[in-house]
Amino acid sequence: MAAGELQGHVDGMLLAVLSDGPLHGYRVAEELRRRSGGEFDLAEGTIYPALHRMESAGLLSSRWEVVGGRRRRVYAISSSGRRAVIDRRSTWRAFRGAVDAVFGAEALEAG
Amino acid sequence: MRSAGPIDVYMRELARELRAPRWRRRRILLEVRAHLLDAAEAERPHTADADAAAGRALARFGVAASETARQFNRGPSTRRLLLRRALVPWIAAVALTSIACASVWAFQPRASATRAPRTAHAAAVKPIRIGRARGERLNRTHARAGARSAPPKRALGR
Repeated sequence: MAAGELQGHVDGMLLAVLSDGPLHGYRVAEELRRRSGGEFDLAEGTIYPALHRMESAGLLSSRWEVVGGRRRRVYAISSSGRRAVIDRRSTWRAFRGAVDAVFGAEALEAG
Repeated sequence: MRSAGPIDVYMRELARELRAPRWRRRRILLEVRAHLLDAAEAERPHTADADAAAGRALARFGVAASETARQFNRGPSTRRLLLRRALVPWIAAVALTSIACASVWAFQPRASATRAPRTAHAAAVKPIRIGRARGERLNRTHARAGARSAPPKRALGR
């Protein structure tokens, strides 16, 4: 999937990945790719500004940790981040339902 | 002498383009470098040499150093970050001091509770406000008379 199609959903997906436990940036990118079955061709470099932005907004917290002999910034979701995941999930469901309805209607017309 | 690898070149460009306080620049550079080194390690088995692996890591990173810097520079403004960093501890300190002062004030014994109880005589005397000259005259009169029932000086307007 092209990066443009993911625009607007990156923050929510990063929060969803981190809601399972704290991770550093590289692992977040790996986990995003794994969960999407390799579908999301997201430039890994776009993850960090998003993580920093969400930390500034209080959705994430972070701390330094040495993982695999290398110093890394590990991100954890905050309680307001968890609330944001719930909100975005319900928004996404509503959006997906509306898109499905539109495509379904078109398919009926084509058929 | 070995030339700088692609990751070093990328990091130098990123450092040049970043507009942020030193602590934030350091954090961003450490994070990005760790990410690129992880990615290069993951790519190493699939490539001929370390530089090729670094090149693939940079391709996965997918964003030119100048664009990465632009995205970070577009984040919360430096002034805002500095204000938050400086003001939050200051506001917290002021709030804690205020709470501590308020607690001390609230639990301090009242002055009236520590005052010696008034005697029945003192309680019977009604304080009056009189001029200084008249008060001194009255005092002299009472002193001369040696009256046992002379009211205490305090009641004569001193």
